[in-house]
Amino acid sequence: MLCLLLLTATDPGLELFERTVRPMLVDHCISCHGGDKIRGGLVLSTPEGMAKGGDAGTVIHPGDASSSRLLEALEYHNPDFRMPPSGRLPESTIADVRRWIELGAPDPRPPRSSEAAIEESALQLKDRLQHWAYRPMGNEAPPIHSAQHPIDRFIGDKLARAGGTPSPPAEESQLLRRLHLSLTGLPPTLEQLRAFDESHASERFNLTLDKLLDSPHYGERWARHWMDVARYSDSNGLDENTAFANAWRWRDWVIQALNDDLPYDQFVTMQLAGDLLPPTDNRDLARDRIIATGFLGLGPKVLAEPDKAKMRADIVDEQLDTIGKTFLGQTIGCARCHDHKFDPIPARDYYSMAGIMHSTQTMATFNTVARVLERPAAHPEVIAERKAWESDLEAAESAIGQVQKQVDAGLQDTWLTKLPQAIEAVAQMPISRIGREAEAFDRSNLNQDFDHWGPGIGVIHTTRPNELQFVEWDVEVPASGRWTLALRYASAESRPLKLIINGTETSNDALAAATGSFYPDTQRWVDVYTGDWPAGSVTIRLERPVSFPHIDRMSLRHTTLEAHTTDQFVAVAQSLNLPVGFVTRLHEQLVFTPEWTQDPNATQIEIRSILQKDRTSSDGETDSNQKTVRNRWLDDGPFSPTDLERAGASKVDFEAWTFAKQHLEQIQAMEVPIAPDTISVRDEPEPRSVKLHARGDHTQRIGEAIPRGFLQVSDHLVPAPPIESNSGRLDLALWMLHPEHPLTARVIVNRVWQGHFGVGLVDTPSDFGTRGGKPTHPELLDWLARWFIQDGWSLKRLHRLILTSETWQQSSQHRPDMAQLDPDNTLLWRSHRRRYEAEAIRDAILTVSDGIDPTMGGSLLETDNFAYVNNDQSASNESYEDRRRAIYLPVIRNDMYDLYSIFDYPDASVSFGKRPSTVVSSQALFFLNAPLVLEEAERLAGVLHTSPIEDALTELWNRAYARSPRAEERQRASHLLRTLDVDNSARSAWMGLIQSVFASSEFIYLD
Amino acid sequence: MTWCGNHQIGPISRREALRETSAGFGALALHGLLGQWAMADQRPPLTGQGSSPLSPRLAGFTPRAKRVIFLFMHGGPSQVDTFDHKPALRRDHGKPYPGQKPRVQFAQTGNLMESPYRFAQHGESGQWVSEIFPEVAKMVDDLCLVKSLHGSNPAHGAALMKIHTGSDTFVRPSMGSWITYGLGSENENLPGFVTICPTLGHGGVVNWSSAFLPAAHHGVPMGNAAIPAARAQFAHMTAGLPKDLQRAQLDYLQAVEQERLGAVGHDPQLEGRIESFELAFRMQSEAPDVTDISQESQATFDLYGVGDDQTDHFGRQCLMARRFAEAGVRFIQCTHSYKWDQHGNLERDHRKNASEVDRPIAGLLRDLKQRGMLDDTLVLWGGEFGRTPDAQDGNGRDHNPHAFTMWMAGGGVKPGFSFGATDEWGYYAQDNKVHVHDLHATILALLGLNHERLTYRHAGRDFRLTDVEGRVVRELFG
Repeated sequence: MLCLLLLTATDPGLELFERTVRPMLVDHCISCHGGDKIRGGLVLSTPEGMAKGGDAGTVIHPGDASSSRLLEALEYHNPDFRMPPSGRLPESTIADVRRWIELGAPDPRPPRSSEAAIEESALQLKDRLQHWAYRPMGNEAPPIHSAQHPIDRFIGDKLARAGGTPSPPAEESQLLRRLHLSLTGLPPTLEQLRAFDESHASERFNLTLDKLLDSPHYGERWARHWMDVARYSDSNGLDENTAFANAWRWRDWVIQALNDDLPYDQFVTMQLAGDLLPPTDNRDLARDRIIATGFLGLGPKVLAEPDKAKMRADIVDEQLDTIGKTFLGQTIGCARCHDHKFDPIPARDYYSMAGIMHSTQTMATFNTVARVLERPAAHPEVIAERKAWESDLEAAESAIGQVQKQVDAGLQDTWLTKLPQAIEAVAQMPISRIGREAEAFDRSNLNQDFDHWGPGIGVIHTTRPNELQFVEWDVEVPASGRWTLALRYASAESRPLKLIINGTETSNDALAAATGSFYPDTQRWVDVYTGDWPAGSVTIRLERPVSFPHIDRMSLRHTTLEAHTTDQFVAVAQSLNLPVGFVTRLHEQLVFTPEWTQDPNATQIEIRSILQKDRTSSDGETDSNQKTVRNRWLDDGPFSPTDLERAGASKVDFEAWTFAKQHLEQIQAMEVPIAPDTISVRDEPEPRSVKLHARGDHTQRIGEAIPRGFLQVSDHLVPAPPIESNSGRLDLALWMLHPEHPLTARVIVNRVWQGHFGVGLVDTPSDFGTRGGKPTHPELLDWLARWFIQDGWSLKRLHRLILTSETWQQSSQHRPDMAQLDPDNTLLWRSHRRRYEAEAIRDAILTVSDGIDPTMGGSLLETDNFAYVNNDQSASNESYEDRRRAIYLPVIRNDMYDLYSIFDYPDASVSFGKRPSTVVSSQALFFLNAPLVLEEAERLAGVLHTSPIEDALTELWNRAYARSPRAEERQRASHLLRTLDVDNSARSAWMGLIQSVFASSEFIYLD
Repeated sequence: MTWCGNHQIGPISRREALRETSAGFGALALHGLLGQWAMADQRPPLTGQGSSPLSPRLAGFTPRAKRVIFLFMHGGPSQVDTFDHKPALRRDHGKPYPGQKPRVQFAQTGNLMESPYRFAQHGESGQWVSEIFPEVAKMVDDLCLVKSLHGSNPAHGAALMKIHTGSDTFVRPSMGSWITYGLGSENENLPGFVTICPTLGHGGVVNWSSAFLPAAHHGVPMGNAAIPAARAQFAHMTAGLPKDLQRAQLDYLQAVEQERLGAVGHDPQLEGRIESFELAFRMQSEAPDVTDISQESQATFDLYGVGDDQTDHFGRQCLMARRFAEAGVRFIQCTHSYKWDQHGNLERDHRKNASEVDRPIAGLLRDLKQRGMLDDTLVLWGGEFGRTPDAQDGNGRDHNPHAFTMWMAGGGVKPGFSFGATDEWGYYAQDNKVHVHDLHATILALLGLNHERLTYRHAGRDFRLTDVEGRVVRELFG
């Protein structure tokens, strides 16, 4: 620095600085690199900053302009690194800067020490460690207070000090609803109400509590809370919304783990590092450990990101963000770009934890469209058994394939020699059937699809679902009489068609039944119309305003003539010594391709050539025309023998075939454990530490690689363990679960508290940082956290502890005096009145109407794994009509079930610790008009409207509110029933009343 | 202290109440007040730190526009074939691009390709427009073209999220949500943010979601891209019972709720619910009137191309956009879904795409103008990115986030004006570059909102539409 001061004003470098460089810095640089804003860590407003450079290193090499990044940026050659962003500066300015650097880049501005700033920041970090959440958990015993229960002593003491008094217990019916909804997410049923009434008053609360904690619905309720923080979804969301068709295994595991009261420390360890735990003989446990790690892979990812390094960095970031919020209540993500502005999390900590996730394989492939990693969910022994069985199966299939080929060849050769006679015999039969390939239509706007049904086989289905879809065939009917129209089709869902024959509508629900899929595996013939027609021309038209089923073939059968055909088939078969089945199949084939009857000898030659090709060349490579013929005559046609027909082969061949068949069936029948794929992770072969990314930019990696490690916030309490597992995930879990870790236990007991009270002791459950909320009762929070750890991390016992407190059982009644003292109820002088969540609203409606299906577990997702749930032009195929609990309905990112969006279920893309509870008109519209509400109201109305009105009202009130109606309520409801009963339809009046009950606050709020 | 019935409540719980209880779709209970702030050139009082939807975020900007209509061309229209005339492409057709191609490309591209279309100068401003937009060309003197836009991501999904939410990586509130959050709604019986026939792919709802903003600011979809505009509807707007019976149901419900309120004491959420049912009832009456275009004249249909097969879909969207704008909706988006992605056959398909939107767009501009609404309605046209000047598949172009053109009209922007420039071939934005963040900052400024102060506290920090970026491009102001 000193040398600069000795330079005189006539120095050409200084002259350049004053003439060009200084004005340039002021006009174009300092607004982002100095003063309030410091982009890229680069300060150009001081000479030290200029010399030091930014996050990405130095920007000026005095004397060497060509290696100075400042000049590179100004020159605009590198498209990713151009400054200033508003446009290239004039050539003369750039030339001056170049010259100035060559002259040693003299900078006459007065220096300003930045050491002070560094000290300041270290002080701040130390200061911030004083924040409550990083300090040791306290050891204070519950204060002396009149109450017995430790929770009541903490709450009561503080309340009394503030001059307040607790509220009396809630009414028993309110308490009962609270218990049921808090623990299981379902309102009490009539049966449960009766059991409650019949048990002894002094013990019925505890009895109910025990029953509900043992109920499998408990796991369903609390798994849903956990799914919020774990950002659970059945699809990727973001740019490419492909299905996670195996995500449900993780969800079902969470439900089971909670029902089993798996201790929380194991629950956490399995999700972070289940795959790294020491081997176990317990097969179920080994399976669950793999499934549990799905937690790490469930996040949304930009799957078509062309910049693979960015995709990798973004995925790690998403994982760290979720891990931080979920387990630690820390917004680690903030430290991706810079040291956390408010919490003591330097960027260095972020990248040391990022190293752990960079050493973990989350993706199967990064190639567009990228896929998340899946692994077999099973014990290694099971996987080995399964593999052995699969290879046995393959061998058996290949063995029977060999024998069968020989058997079939013998049969085919025999049949082939008689083919010309058979064709002639069949052709002479009176025409009892006309057939047409569906795609050989006369008029249609449907799509002809030849791609999915075998070579040359076409179907018709929807092209543009936005207009009226139709197809028309013109058919020449050869003889008058009674004809039956049949269609062969497949459809995964009901797509009823309008059938119009010669301009007259004859049906509006043709092909209405779903077959099970859209593919040939489920296609079937269905008769759609029978009528008397004269000989002559007939136009058959099908139409539908939206999507069509997939139609393969159309045929007309003459009903009277047809009655004789079976006899004729038998006669032909006998006369030619052929199986009846062959003759029948040949007939069917000729109906659709009558051209093959014209020259039976030529047909024989053609089929022989195809048979020979099929046997000699292993892949049967023929032209597409021959492929079509092959497909129609062999694979799916007359020359494909049935098992029964194979008995007609030579004795030796048939015995060999029977033996192979039995062997195959034995293997198929074996009970082999399954190892289905599940979303999971595994360690990379080599762990990878990463460098700091300047401004979070993966292209700007600077300095040395940062050793993998954890946040420093707990260093003063928990020694950071050395990383011994390969990636460090297991060490991460161990570090979090250290009994003195200041965050882990506090975070989970607060979540449980929030689940029961509606508001946590800390009202920002996923942010325990300095910008988050402060605990209203810090001593209680710490006491609960320590109790929870010492008690063995049991969530069920924690529930019991909380629910048995008088604090939880208080009334929610408003009290003006207390409201003035403590308007936000932070002292807990009463219970918070709260609306329950979207899922519980739906489940409550279905429970009250008796419409719920209690089946647990499994997937309701319609979309295949990794297939698009929806794309630009199509809505999702997913349906929300199933009657199982809401937790089993698909969760589709980017296209949520509308009920969920309306009732504040956020898009499941980020970890969410607390759901908002808004009141918006779309909720009112839902209760007024949504099909779900109308249908369930109608269902219950069907039960109630036949009972005497007073009984029915009592039942409705008990179902919905767990109590009987008061006199004025009866009066009001009866009045509404009379008003609604406009056309003497008691059922529809009841439906209107029930709908209003669903909409009422008492129903969707917990008092 | 505020007195409410017999119950005194403190300021904190009242703010809490208002935060959680915004009874209209996008309506803020105090929307009138906010509206005043927005319209008058006055600084609102400063309170809070942006953590309540009611705290003012307007600072020092004169509002020029009251509302926005975004005409979104999904797929990425090519700048060099629409509004960014590049004679050098004709000269250098078939030669390699002389500059450096971007580090990350969506796919490999070949040599430079001239535009298959003729360009001509139009209007008094003499701006160049390609022949595929003959009707829009007649309106160039109202357009403010920005030819130096650039974004950051060359994939559709990420680029859509960027243009709609400012983030190509995370789920963030959409621009329309930020705007209704900042300004409230002018009509409490309608949503503040409506998106007509939006695309369900490439981010889908992320592009119109309120993310962590209050749910009332979520975009309300009318149909989706899989449904023709003629059949697009709002959800749950068809009455479950005849209107008079529904009225009886509501009267019953109101009596029940009032009684309960009396019994349990003060509860802002309960009060909000009572009001929300009345609003829903009114909305059910009003929304169908707004979306029912059958009362419009044949001349209007002709203006927008409604009834003509080619233009019906987008024409209806534009006409409905005008009706929503008249009714007080704050942010309206029309989507021409995933049409503009011509990796091949650009000449045929860009022409076809333009023919589907050209007349509807010009019709919308003319209609707004003749109704005197163009002055305070900001119309925004563009896609998620531009296309490369070099060829793909011989006759197509690849994605290009490094240069694209968008235009604005009305709403206080400079008419008949062109801003910024790309390099000689149109590969990179070069002069007066405008990043997507800058565009967002500018749109907010036109509405009187300061992008650096329109913040929301979430997960421990204050979020903005423009993240930590954004420059208000004042040069575009009229």
